[in-house]
Formats: sequence, C-alpha cells, structure tokens
Amino acid sequence: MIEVLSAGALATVQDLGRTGSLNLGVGWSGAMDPLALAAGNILLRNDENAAGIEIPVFPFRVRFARSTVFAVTGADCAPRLDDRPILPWWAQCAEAGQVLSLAVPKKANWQASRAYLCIAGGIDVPLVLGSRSTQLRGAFGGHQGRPLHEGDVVPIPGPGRQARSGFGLIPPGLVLPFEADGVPAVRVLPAAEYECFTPASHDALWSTPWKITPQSNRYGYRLAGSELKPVRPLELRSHGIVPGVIQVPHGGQPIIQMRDAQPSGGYPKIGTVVEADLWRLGQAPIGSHVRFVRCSWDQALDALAETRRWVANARRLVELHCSHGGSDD
Amino acid sequence: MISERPRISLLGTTALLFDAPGETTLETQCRIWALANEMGRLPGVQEAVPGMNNLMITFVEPPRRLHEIQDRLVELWTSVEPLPVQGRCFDLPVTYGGEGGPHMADVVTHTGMSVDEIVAIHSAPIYTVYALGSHPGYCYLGGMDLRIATPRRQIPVLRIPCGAVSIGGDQTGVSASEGPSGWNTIGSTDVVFFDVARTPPALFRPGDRVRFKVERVVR
Amino acid sequence: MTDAFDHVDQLCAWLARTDIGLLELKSPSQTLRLLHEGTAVAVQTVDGAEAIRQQPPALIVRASAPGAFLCRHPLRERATIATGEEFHAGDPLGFLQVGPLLLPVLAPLAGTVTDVLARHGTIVGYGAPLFALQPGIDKEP
Repeated sequence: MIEVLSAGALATVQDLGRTGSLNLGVGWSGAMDPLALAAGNILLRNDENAAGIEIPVFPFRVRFARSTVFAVTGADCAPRLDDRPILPWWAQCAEAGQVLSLAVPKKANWQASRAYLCIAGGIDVPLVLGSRSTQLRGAFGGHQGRPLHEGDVVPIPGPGRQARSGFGLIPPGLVLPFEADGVPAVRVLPAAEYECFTPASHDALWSTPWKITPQSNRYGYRLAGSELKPVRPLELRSHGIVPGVIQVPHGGQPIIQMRDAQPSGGYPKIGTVVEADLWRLGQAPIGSHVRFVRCSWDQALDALAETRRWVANARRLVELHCSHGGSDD
Repeated sequence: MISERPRISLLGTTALLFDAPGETTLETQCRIWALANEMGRLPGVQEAVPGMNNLMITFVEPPRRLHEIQDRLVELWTSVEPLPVQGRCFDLPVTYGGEGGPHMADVVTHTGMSVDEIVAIHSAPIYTVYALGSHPGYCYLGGMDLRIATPRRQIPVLRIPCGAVSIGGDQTGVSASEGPSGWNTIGSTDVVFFDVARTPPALFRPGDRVRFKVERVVR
Repeated sequence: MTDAFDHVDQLCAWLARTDIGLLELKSPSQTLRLLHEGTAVAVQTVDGAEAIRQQPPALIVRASAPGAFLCRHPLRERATIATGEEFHAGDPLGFLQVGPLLLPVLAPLAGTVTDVLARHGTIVGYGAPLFALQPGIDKEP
C-alpha cells in the first residue's frame, strides 16, 4: 500500500476512463493526460489502462509501505525519493518506508501541469461499472469516490510483478509539438452550431489565443478572450456531449468540456477539440494560452494515429529492453 | 432549433450527433429509442445515447469513411419501428419554492405567472423519462407545459443540491447529485435516483413515467 | 640475470601485436612507459619521482547500444555530470536514447570524470567511447 502524507486538492485515482455507462448519465472521467498515464504504465509493464494517481496540485507526498517499482510521468515535478532527486518518466525502485515527494512543476521546455504516479500492477481499488476512475459527481469509483487527502492509504498489488527499473521514456510533449504562432495549439472540428455564429466569431475562434482562466478544472476549462456571438440567440434541446466539446453559454466566453464534464448539455457548441489533442489540453496550465486550429476529419484521424504510434513504439521498445535482461538499479 | 430533416453533426472524432427533425415529441423519442437499439448493435459503435429527440453515437474507433455510418443512421431512421412507451410509474414528492427553489422568482418574472400557477402547471402532467444524462441517474423528462418554459441561466450556478427540481428552456428535470447547473431550480425532492451498489444503479429507465406530487409550497 | 629493461625492443614488438594500449615497467629509480598507438609503440622514460605523481590510465565507458548520446536528461538543463566531478558506482553519467526509450549510461565503479568523449545529441554506435573516468576510492554514498 502507499500512504498519502500530503496532497493538494483534487489528486484522484484515474485510469483511461469509464466507458459504456453514458446511458446511465455516467461520464467517462479518466486521466486528463491519457498519454502520460499510458506511458507510466508502459514503463512498469502494466496494462495501459492500469489505474494511477493524477496529481494537479503540489506538493504531494506518499510513503511506500514496502518495496515498490513506480514511475512519475506528466509534468516534471522535481521528484525526490527521501532526499535524493530522481528522474521523471523513469521506472524507479523504492524501498519500504521511503517517501516520494513531488514539488510544483517548474517551467521547462515542455509546459505541463499534471503529474501521474504509476505503480507496478496499478492502483488496486475496486472496479466500479468497469473502471477504476474516480466519478467525482456521483461520488463513486477510484478511492472512495473522492480526491485523496492526508492519511489515506491507497492499495497496490503484492510483489512478484515483472516490472524492472532503471530506464525511462522521452515525454511525447517534447517530440510531438503542436503550435500556432508560438502558442500551444489543439486541433478542432466545427460542431453543429458553428454556422450559427458570426463571421467575426469564427475569426476569433481560429485566429486569437484563448486564456485558460483559474475557473478551470477536470469538469471544464473556462476560457477568456473575444466574445463569441451567435447570429441570433440559441436555445437547444439537451443532447450528448463528449470531452473536448467547446460550448458557448450566453456570456460569449467558451468553456471546453473536459473529462468530468456532464455527458450531456444544452449550450451551443462551436467546435470540438479532437481526441488526439485532449492530452495537450489536459496539461495546459492555468493562466496559459491555447490556440484552436481547424482541421479536417482525415487530419484529425492522422493526429490520432500519430499518438497511437508513439504509444505502440514505446511499448515495443520497453518490452524489448526488459526481455533482454534490461538494467536494474 | 427546429429543422425539417434529421441533422448529423460531429463531436470531434469521438462521436456523431443525430438530431431528429421537427418539434420535440414523445413519438419522435420512441423512434430515437428504437434507433439507439439498432445503432448500439453495430460493431463500430461503442454506445448509442439518446438525448431529447436526438442520439449520440460514440465510436469504438473513428472510421476513415464517415459516410458509411452516417448513411446507416439516416437509413435506419426512416425504416425503424418506434418502441412503445413501456415503463413503471413513479410519484416524486416535491417541496416547491423556499430554500429548495431559489430561482422560482426568476420563473415568475419570465412567465408572468404566480408561484401557485407555476406549481399547478408543473405538477399536472405525467412526464415520460426520455433519456438519462447530465450526471449519474439524472432523467430528462418530456411533457412539460411550455407556459412555464424559462431560458437557461446566463451564468450557471456552481452548486445545486441533490434533489433539485429545475426548469431549463422547455425542459424539466431533477438533480440526482450535487453539482453545477444552468437551470432554474423551483423545488426539491428526497428521492434517491442513483446507487452504484444497486443493479441497475439508476432508479429510472427511458419509458418510465413520473408525476410530481405537491408536498408543500413555500412562498 | 637480465631484467625487463634489457628487453625493451622485444617488449615493443610484442605490444604492437596486441590491443593493449599501455605497458608500464617500474623500478624504484625509473618508469618505462610503452605507449601503443595505432601500429607504433613509443617509449617514454619517466624518472621515479615523476612516475609517482602521474596517474594510472583512464577507464573508458562505452555505449551499450546504438542510439543518440545525451549528456543530460531531456527535461533537465544541466549535464548529468561534468568533467572533474566525482560519482559513485551505478550513478548515471549520461543517457542513450533509442527512439522514445531512454537508457542510462551507468558508472561501472566510483571515480571522477576526466573527459566526455561524445557530443550531446550525436548518434553513436554500439561500443562508442562516451566517458573517460579516473577510478577512485569508493566513498560512502
């Protein structure tokens, strides 16, 4: 088990999401940066969907009750094991009683805001409706349906895993950059009400940077920028939505629905961030800017294939390394 | 928005949204349920999720050739037999107004009616559960009298409690857990709509019927 | 009785046929150093006092796989280790990147870095020399 010694707000157990229960009104949840979670799991030879801990606020400290192989991916948060600095994106062995400390991520050559603590075998909380992700609104799943706090004891599987330590991965954020005029960008496909907005709104959507305000979290990112105006007021029927949908409520400031968003809504939708770029959004820090880049269906699928290739390649090389008697600390 | 023909639009690469033509009706919803059943059987479809006279289709994998699934949707829409409204009937005791109905005044202002008129109109019909969505166990109800329709709020409220009975546009519903909402809350109920330990976890299913019973009116 | 110093020519010829880089013959008064570079063997005479001051030859750490040599982790700004710095056995000195995989270049023993032999970001082959190390006494980690 691992004991939480200190946690900022909203550290939650997440896997890649809870699919198949939209018909009950249960949204997907899951890691905001699924690529970082998958990478951490690959380093530990876990299933990509194994549960880890998503950490958006720092500092964060846990104690390992017994010897454990783990990896910290996502934002580089200067991880330390007891007093010793260790590497991020690295399969690392901790001895019983050692304390892992994660600090506020510093500005690096890749901006990121959320870290993922992955454990060999995955976090061992029960499956609820097929997933270990925390369903915050419904208060179930993950660790007792709520964020972690000091004193929590999180279960992990027993020893005897095939994880090895002493090697790492290059973060995809360094090798798959995507920017518009120097600003981190995400690809967007227009949504049903796109045509209902004014031409000036279209220009603003595609050509101006959008600031991620402090009122942004796993439910949605509230953006600040130009006002987006429909040609005439829109009142829609409730309909299904997915993470990435960019809603425009009456105030004219868009909200990007994120992993814990309601699975349905009624605000006008101007566009949807493509699945391939949701991990970029998931790492965008509060106060940073994002640009929307219009893409075609084929371009969106190409981008998705690119992330899938990165994951498959990482898995292949890690397995090759580990099965050839790879290094151990 | 009322359209003449069904509309299919993209929700990124994650899902398709099928919007039925015409006004929102129970008859259309019965066809949406049937369409959901058929689409849900297709191998490329992860989930078929009814909304209010619309249907969201999430992909297992987004297909390169979109038109195949779009064509299938249109084809099935015209050929499918509407499912009958078949379900149980529930009475939900509601306390209207007061602390549990913080936006009753806004509905009064918008509609020009009194609290008593609004309560009478809201509690008169037998509503049908059109779909579940929004949050675990939440039901979208059809059948609200349009005289008490009130637009969604300019700025959504950060926290509306579990059991909040609300009006958003021409729809009404009850919150199944605490959370943000852009609807106008006019009352509250104690019924439990979702329990993950139950099988099935949600109290209601599409096709069930609901009546709001007036327990109390706080003016 | 002959000693090794009488047979320098023979020793040079023998050394030239091996892949040993250095042979030292020590006596209290002098040290003879036979340096094997390429096909030639050079002879250096070092007097006793100077020989004691001079250090034993460096150890070379080589690439365990083909890849890109990195002197620092991609998320770090400073090199993992600099010339003149000390390290313990098992410490990472640098990295080898193979696609998305990052492998450590580990110190085989404790000591000091005398030279970094490959440039950050260059592709190196299996066995390429990466670091020259001066073995030292293993202090408490």
